[in-house]
This record gives sequence, C-alpha cells and structure tokens, in this order.
Amino acid sequence: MRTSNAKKFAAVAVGLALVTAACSSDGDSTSITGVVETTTPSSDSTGGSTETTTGGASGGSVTYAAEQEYTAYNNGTADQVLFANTLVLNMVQPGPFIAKPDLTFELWAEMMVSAEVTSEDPQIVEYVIQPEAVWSDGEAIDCDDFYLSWISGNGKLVHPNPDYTGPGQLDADGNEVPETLPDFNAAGTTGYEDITSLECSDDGKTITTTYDTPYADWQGLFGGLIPAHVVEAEAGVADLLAIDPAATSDDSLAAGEVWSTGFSGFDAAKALSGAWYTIDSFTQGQNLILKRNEAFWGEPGKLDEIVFLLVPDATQQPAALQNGDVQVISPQPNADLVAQLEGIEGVTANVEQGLTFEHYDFNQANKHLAKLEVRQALALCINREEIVETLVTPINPDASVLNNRIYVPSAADYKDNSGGLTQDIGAAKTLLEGAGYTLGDDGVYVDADGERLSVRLGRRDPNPRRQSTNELFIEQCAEAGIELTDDPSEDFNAVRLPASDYDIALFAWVATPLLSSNTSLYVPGGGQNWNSYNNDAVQGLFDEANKEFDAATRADLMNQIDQVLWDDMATLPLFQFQEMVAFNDAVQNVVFNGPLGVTWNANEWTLAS
Amino acid sequence: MFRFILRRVLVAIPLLFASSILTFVLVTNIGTPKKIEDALARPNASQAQIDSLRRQFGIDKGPVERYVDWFTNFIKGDWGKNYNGLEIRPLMWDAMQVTIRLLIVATVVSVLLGVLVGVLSAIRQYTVFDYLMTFMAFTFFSIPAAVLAGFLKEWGAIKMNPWLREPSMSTPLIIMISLFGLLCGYLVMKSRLKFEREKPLSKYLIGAAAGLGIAVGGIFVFNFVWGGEVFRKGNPKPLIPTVGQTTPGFDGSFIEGLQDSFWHMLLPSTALILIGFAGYSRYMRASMLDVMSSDYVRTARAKGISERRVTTLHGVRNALIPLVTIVALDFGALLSGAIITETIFGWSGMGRFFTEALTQRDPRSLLAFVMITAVSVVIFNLIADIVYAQLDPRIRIG
Amino acid sequence: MADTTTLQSAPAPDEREFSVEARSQWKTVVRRFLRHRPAMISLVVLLLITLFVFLFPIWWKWPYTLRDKTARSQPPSWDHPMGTDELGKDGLGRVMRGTQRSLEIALIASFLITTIGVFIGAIAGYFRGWIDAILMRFTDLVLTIPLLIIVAVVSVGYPQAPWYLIPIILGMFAWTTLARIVRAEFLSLREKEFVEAARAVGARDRRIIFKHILPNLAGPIIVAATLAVAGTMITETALSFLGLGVRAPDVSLGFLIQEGLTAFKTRPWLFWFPSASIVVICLCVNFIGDGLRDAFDPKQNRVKA
Repeated sequence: MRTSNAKKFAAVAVGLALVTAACSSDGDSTSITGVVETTTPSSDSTGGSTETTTGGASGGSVTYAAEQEYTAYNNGTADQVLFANTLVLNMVQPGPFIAKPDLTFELWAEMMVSAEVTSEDPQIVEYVIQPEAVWSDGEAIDCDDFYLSWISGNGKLVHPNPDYTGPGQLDADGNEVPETLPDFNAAGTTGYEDITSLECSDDGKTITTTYDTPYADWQGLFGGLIPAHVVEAEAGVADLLAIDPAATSDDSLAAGEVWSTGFSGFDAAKALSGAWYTIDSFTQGQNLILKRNEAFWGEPGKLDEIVFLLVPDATQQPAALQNGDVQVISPQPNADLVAQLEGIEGVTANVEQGLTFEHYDFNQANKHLAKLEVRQALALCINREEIVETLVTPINPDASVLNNRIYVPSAADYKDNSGGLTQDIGAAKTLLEGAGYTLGDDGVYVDADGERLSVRLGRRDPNPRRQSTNELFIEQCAEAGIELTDDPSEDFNAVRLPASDYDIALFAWVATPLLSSNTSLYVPGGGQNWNSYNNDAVQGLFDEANKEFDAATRADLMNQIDQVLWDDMATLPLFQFQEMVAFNDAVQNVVFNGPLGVTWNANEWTLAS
Repeated sequence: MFRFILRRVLVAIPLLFASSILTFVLVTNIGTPKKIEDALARPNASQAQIDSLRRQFGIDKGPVERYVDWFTNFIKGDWGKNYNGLEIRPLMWDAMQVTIRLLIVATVVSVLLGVLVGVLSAIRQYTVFDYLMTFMAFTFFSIPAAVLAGFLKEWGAIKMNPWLREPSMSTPLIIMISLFGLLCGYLVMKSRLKFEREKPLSKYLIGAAAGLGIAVGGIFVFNFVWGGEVFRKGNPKPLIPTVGQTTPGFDGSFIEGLQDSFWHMLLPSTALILIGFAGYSRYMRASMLDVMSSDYVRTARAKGISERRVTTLHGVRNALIPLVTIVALDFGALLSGAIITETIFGWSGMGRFFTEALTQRDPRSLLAFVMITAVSVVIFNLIADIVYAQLDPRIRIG
Repeated sequence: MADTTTLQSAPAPDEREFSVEARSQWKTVVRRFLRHRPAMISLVVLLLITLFVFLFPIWWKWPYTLRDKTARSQPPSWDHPMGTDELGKDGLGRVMRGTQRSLEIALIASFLITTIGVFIGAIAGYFRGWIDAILMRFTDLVLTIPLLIIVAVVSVGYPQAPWYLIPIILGMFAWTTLARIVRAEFLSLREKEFVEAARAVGARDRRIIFKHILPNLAGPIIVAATLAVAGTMITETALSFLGLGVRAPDVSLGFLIQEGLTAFKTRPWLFWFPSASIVVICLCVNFIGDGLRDAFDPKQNRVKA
C-alpha cells in the first residue's frame, strides 16, 4: 500500500450533501462529497462512448477490481458514505432516476411509471412506481420505502443529547456539545428538509411529495431506497407510515437506530435487492459476489455473476488485469498506468475527464486579491495550457483547460465563458500599473502603500501534483512581477480552508448534477464561500435558477452565473482530474460514469465467449 | 521443565504489560483518524457527527482513562470496532490465520533450503559454490521486498501463465539451459575431486541435482505431450494468480481447495522464501563453520569417524541449535516482510490489516495489531528459549 | 573460546609491553581484510559511488529539482544519462540526490544504533545486577514490537517531519540486537584477568569500560555497524513503500523506487537506476561486513582454496 499517489479517490458521496471536495483524502486525491444519491442506472441507457451491443443473456462471471471495500448496505448514513458502496449498490437498490454519464437524470423506466412535477408553486412531485416492482423477498417496492427515505433525511426527528448540560458546554476539544442528536444519523438533509408532506395512495404505488421551498434538483432525491419492511421488522415498529415525520417518538428512535447502524457489513436477510443483482456473499477483506436477482421483473442482468475482488493497491491492478485475475478496473490514472494498460494486448483503456476539477481560489480578504485588477492579472500571467500540458496531457492527450465552474465538458450544457483567456504577461502588467502598482527594484510590483505584491499559494501537503502546479504558477507569474510562494500544510483542506486562512488556495470542487449545490460556494453565508466573494447579481441568478424547473432555462441561468464569476474573476478553474476504466476486451458495454462509477450499467455487461 | 516454562511465562507477563503501555503511547501519537479529518473537511458535517465519530474511535477521553478502558477491554477480549464499525477481533483472527499460514509455509521451505545451502557452503568454504551462494544470499538481502515481488509478478505470473498454456522454448534457450546444467555438473565434479574425503556428500549433491533435472525435464515433457492442458483444464482464470489468497466464491472439494491455495500462495511465499533463505543460509554457514572448527569435531575426526558421520552427526546437528532460536526470534522480521508481500499480492492478512489501520490512522485497530504482534513475539521468544534449552545439552533446566 | 587470541593480544594501549602485540593484531585484521577480494572490491565500489554522488552534483547541470521542459519522460540520453521523469526532472540528478539521502539516513541510523547499542550493552554487561536487569528488560520491551511496525506507527503521526527524523527513529529502536551482543561479551570479559588487573591498579569503571574492554569488541561492533547501514537502507525502502519515507520534493532511493515501480514497464529507466543503486550499495556493504567478520574472526585460519 502506499499513501501518496496510489491511494486516491477515496471518494464519495451520496446523501445530497453539498459539493465540496475539499480534498481531504490523502495525497493526490479529492474526496468528492456529494454527488448524487445512489441512484441506479437504467437498462436501456447508452450514454457513454462505447457502443452498446445488444443481445441476449451472455451469462458468465466478470471480476471487477475494487479499490475500497464494501462496508454497508445503507450508504446514506453519516458514517457510511462510501463510493465503494455506491459501486455495489448501483446494481442492487431501486430508485426513481439514474444519473447518466452526461450528468443528466433519466427516469428509471423499469422502476417507475412516472415521476413528475405536477405543480410548481407549491412544488408538488408525484411518483408512480411500477406495479410489479418488488424486493427480492417478494414484498412490494412502494410508498413506505419512500417514506423511510424522507423521514431519515428531513432532519426534524431529533432527540435530546443525554450528554448535554447547557449552552456553552464544550467537549474535550473545545467544541460545543450539541443539544440534540438526530434519530436517523443521515449524511445530509438537503432536499428532504424542504418536503413538508409525503402522501401515499391506497395501493402504495403512488407517492405525492409537497415542498415548502422549491427544490429544482428533486430528481436527485429518493435514490438508493432501503427496504422499509426490513427496518420495521428489525426495529419492532408496526407501521413506519405511522411515525410522525416532525416529532421524535419511540418508534422513530427504534427505526432510526436500525437505519443508522443495522445495515453495516452484510446480512443476506437485510440486504435485499430491488434491481438486477443481489448480494450473494461478502468475504471480508477479499471479495463480494453479486448474483442475478431472480425476483427482478424487468430485463434481467446479462451476466450470471459480478465479482468485486478487493485490490486496494491501485498500482497492482494493471498486473491483475493483464494476468486475467480481473476483467474490469477503474484506478485513478497516471501516465504510467495508462501507457502500461494501453500496451497490454486485448485490453481497452479509456481515460475520461472526471467531475472533479482543480482551481485557484482567490481570498478577497487579502488586500491585494480584493482588487479585481490583481485577480485578473493573475489570470493573465498564469499559463494554464502549460500546466495542463505538463501535468495532465501525459495521462490524457485530450485533456484541456477547463473554462466553466458549473459544468464540465462532458455535460450537455458546458460553455466556455472565459472569453478566450490565455497568458498575456504584458496585459497583466498593464492592469497592475492601472491599479496603482509600480515595479519595484527586485522585479516585484509594490502598491501605493509600498507593499510588495507577494501572495501565498495554499495547498494540502503532501501532494506532488499540487506542488508542481504551484511551482509552475510561481514561475509563470514571476515574469509579470508578482511574487507567489508555495504555502503547503498538511491540514490545509481540513482546517485552514474552512477557516479562510489562505491567500490563494489550490483545491478541487466537484461538478454535480445537483446544480443548486453550487449556491453555497458563491453566495455569502453559503457555508463554503470561504473566499469572501460577494456579488448581488450572482445571488439573484441563483435564487432564480434554484426554482426553475425547465432544464434549458436553468442551464442558461447557470451559465450566466459562470459568466459573472469570470467577469469578477472570483476563482480560476484549471483542469479536471482524470479518471479511467480499463477492461479485458472480452467484456462488452463497459461505460464510464462520473457520478455512479463504472458499475452503473453492469447489468448490460456481456462476456464474449 | 514445567518450572522453567512457568518462570519464563511469569517473566513474560510484566513484559507484555509494559509493552501494552509502549504500544498505547505509540498509537496515541498517530494523529487524527482519517475519517474524522474527512468529516471535518465536509462543511455540512455537524459537530454532532464529528463527536459521534470521536466516540466511535474512542478518542473522546483523556489518555489515562483511554488506556485503562482499552486495556481492561482488551484483556476481556473486547477489542472494539474499527473505523468501518466492524468488530476488530474476528477481523484480526481471520487476518492472523491467513498470515500465519503463509509464514509457516515460507519459513519451513526457507529453513530447509537455508540449512542445505548453509551446510554445503560451510563444508565447501571458499569454493565457487560458496561464493555463488554467498553472492546469491547477499543479493536477496539487498533487493527491497517490493522490487523482488514485482519481478515475481512479472515473470512468475504474467509471463508465465500464457507460457504454461502453450509452452514452447527457443533453441538458444534450450542450449543455454543445457550449458548451465553442464557447468553445474562440472563444478560439482571438480569440487568432488578436490575434497576426496568428502566424497559421500558430493554424491548426494549430484543426486539432488540429477533429481531436480529429471523433475524439471519431466514437467517439460508432460507439458509438451499434453500441450499445456494440465495447467489449463479449461479454466479461463490464470493458473498463477497475482492477487488474493483464494478464488472468489471458490466451491470445491478439499483437494481442489488445497490446489487453489497452493497456486495463490506460490508467488508471495516465493518472495518470502528467497529473502528468508538468504538469511538462514548465512546463519547456518557461520554456525556450521564454528562447529566444524571446534575441538569436539576435531576429536571426532581424530577418533577416525568417517567424515560423513562427523558432518551430519556432530556438525549439522550442533550447528542447527542456534538456527532454531534465530528462526523463532526472527518472527518480527518475518512479519515485516509479510506486510510488504501481502500488500503487493493483494492478500487480506495482517499486512492489509496493518496498512489499512495505518492509512486510516485507526487507533483501535492499530492497538490490537501492535499488541497482538507483541504477544506473538513474546510467545515465539518463549518457544525459542524452551527449544534451545531442550537442544543444547549445556543448558540444564532446574 | 573465541576470546583466547583476541583478548590477550588486545589489552589497553597504555600497557607498554603489550602494545606491540596489539598493533600486530590490528595488522592481521587489516591484512586479512585486504586479502578478502570481494570485500575489497566492494569497498572500492562503495567509495567510488559515495564520492560520485556527493561530488558530481556540484558540476552536474541538472539539480534534482530542476525541470527540463524540453525533455519530459525521456529515456536515457547523453543529456540525461538516466532519463527524465514526467516533469522533466533529471534521472541522474535525482538518483544522485536519492543516494546521498539514503546514505545519510543509513549512516545516521547506523551511528545511533551503534552508539546506543554499545552504550546500553556495555553498561548492562559491566555493572550487572539491577542495572543490567532494568536495561535488558527495556531491551526486551523494545524487541516486542517489530522494527518496521514501530517505525511506521511513529512516523505516521509526523507526516511533516524533516527527513532526519527517519534515521533518528530507526536508530532509537534498532539498537537492541547489538546491545545484546555487547552485553554478552562484556559479561564474559569483565571476569578476565586483564580487567581484574586494571581494577587492581585502581582504574575507574569508565576507564575499564572504554579503554580496556571495549577495544576487544571492535570486531563485532564494526561488523554490526556496517550491516546496519544495509539494513537501514532496506527498511527505508519498506517505509517508502508504506508511504512513510522521505517526502517530496526531497528524494531517497526508497522514494525513487516506489515512484518507479509504477513505471516499471513504461519508463523502465525510472525504476532500474534507483533499484540498481540500492542493490549495488547494499551488496557492497554486505560483502564488506562479511570481509570484516572474516578478518576479525580469530578462527578464520582456513587457507583459501
């Protein structure tokens, strides 16, 4: 095992938590917080680059090299949010929508008859579940499963903290002891907290949700359903639907306990399947085996069996693929890995631009960076093409500079809003001189007060790629008379970033299909607006976009926001992290999917004889 | 004997207690668990969640209280839960079985090899054979385990499997192997002529070389005749795997299970064997030289006992005594080697347990791991003491 | 039985009538070592490598941090004899720097191991009694946790630590074997006549330990110190493998090998040069240790065939 480069991608997600990727995992990687709930793929989607081969069941067994181990069936609890679980549960848990590779949502036709907004003010969403949809034990997938999702995520079921003695009480680390604890230890409450009521039809197959504030990303809700009848049985609760969604009760406490802790590890009786595959066995530390779900009512998964073989050291995965121990891998790519995989006969390696993007964040609390001209000068003196060419092109020759903060190029709504920004040292100098800076004897500009234009570039350490990025930035802008210094610290993302303790920060955000989650980044008081950026125009546009239900109009508003952000040079996006999938050519239909991972369409995988 | 063991055990108890304190001090300095760090980096993580995580990791109290808590629970067999919320004790138990199986196989083979080569090196000190073996041993000493394991993967599996399926050999390679065989034979012959009185042993050596040659040749013939069918059996999976200790979902008879384990164990144990054999052969050589130049061997020779009897009866037997203790005392080094090897070959043994606990900075897992390691080391030292006392006639047990 | 030759011939230097003998003992050792061909060759190779990696960087145009933007991931050429990495950093510059670091780490650790080991072993063996008991129980205690594990657990808490913390930690925990050897020797030597004699003329403990007994142990100590160099380099590589070694931008051989492992097939020069360096250095050190052991061993009287 190695921590530095290899261990990457301790990703992700779920729970509609907001985006942030304040890169907390070690070294190179970014922990993507908040992509989509574990929505599950549809059977008929072909969103990716590989053409889908149609054909009957192929049977056989395919082994996928999992870098992290599966830990829990309920991936929505605060302590179990794991991408490794998403990869397994994609094939197991039902939900209304699938997040496609192009970051749009698609109705899961085998699961849902329909799911539509029937009223915009107040927002009312009506879901109709397929009548034949059942869990693998024969129990219908219906309203109580939705209800469980809602009450576990709405954040209103809280009980008093027994350790709490009064306001101002601090724990051993000087943090305030909370007055209440949630009954359901959910990873996030976004979206669900806006729902005021959830009504079931008599047959339980129609669900009507009403919102008090509009939530345009409603399609991201109710993914990764947990079987409510299992929770009922385990918790000894007669009827979950009878639980008051707004006030804690013995039943909600019991159900919350089961929901929060009862699904870790693997228990065949609890880990039911509502989709193509069911978890057949789980051997701690070694492997997890999915077998076809015989109770699935739609078109069955093509393979008999999908094996998740744990290979935690990503650098060992290519050898395992070449040797035939595994057939599909999705390690975090680096130049050698890609070249090595491309050199193996009978193996296809696809490198894709991921959803996570690196950017420089200008803290406007800094005297120099508060000036628009300085920020623009920085954007002009940096040579982003050179950075991409040095650090990313060796991994992916198609890599490009990213010019949008909301969408990545694989998204349908991506637009270059930068106005063709490229390095222009002369223009940078002119801008600085226009802002009252004069060139000092040491080749560094000084402002009117005689202060040198010297700024620190904060980043997490150790991280060789970020270090190189900063080195290049420092070199490039030295020519323009701006002194930049590398400012690495180990706790940068965990402590200094949220505390706004930086001048310029190098870290990553994640593009997500949940557009409203961008709000907290660029609006004051948003929680992640660490750089003190404030522009009323942006705030207004977000307000408008977050209650816009028309996708096209909404995309247009989001691009307008990005345009304003460019004009203000609030942050400077650099490039996307690369991701990859490599597979033995005997396996067909393997398609990369940013939010859900490569297994999103594993039901479509086939094995050539 | 019983009192001797009892005394050693009584000494071991305070030692383990002190070790638990040392372990605890070490582990308390590992920093914030990664999971908490990650949670801190999530801006929407509430204080309640962080606190609940801190409770989960058991780091919400003062050090002394934590130590007492941990120690009393540990003694009682409650080792707590790891960062994933899983019970540590069963995990540790599984991991230990895996690793100990690997270590036993590797140790037995490397000790046998080491003794053989060490003895031959010693009685043929400063011959080409001795230099060759010395050079080999030092080379294996000098290759980092990760590099050695990488080589094994490349040439022992990735290149080997396709070849096993369709074995073929180029003429130059066959000629080279033949030449090498001739050279070995010549060297053996030459050394035999030089040390006339050691003739019997040389015979064994020639016999062993011939046996090996026949075995290797047999496999070749077998393979050519059946076109590699033996190693394929219509199985799409590679014969020699590079990851894992069993085939996922393996379901077969006991014999098939053994075969499955054998092939999975082949490469990792080879890595450990090569490194271990290097050390043991050096120890054995030194020990053998020591014994062979001792007075009692001289006396034995003077009495006219045949060289073969001198070597085997007096020499090897006495030279083995220090080796036995070294093997037992070496447990720590063995385990360290296993940590690296397991990581490279994707085994889920103690190595994985440790590296994972380390990356996650999971205090409870690390405490359990280090403590179990300490207990094992102490037990092996105890065994070493007892065996030594049994073997060495000079030590009398009261 | 080992003592017979060594002891009587290597007493305190100030006792005149023995001093001639003493020199001849050392002479024998040196002569034996000089005749040990593998050890001599290794010594020369090791010295050349050391001189090269410490001196050549002064003239070499590519320091280990400098990027050659025109040559990224280039195979070996005249301009970059060991190729370049993906950032255009020169392979030779990095291997030289890595070797420097690894040698420094090895030497510091070896120095600490020897000093602590000799000190604790000598005190325990000489004074015996409760001092011995305490020190040996302490040694047992440190021995309960394998070196790699102890060092890994200590280093994981200090990711920002400067490089010299690694050899310091290694030194702090790896002295146990030497301490045991030294103690055993001391236990037997302190009963010898020459110690008795020194004590009789009123020599103080410190003098007896350092001037009278310790010189007799030069052999095992020098051998142990030498082998600790190789052992430390290998342990450092294992630490790097666990991601706990030297941190970028600094490099060590372990670090470079770790980096190069992924490039094993695609840019083999990144893997082979540092790996070869560490193997050659450790081989040399092991042969030197072997030669020293033979040279110091009084029973090594077998004539070369």
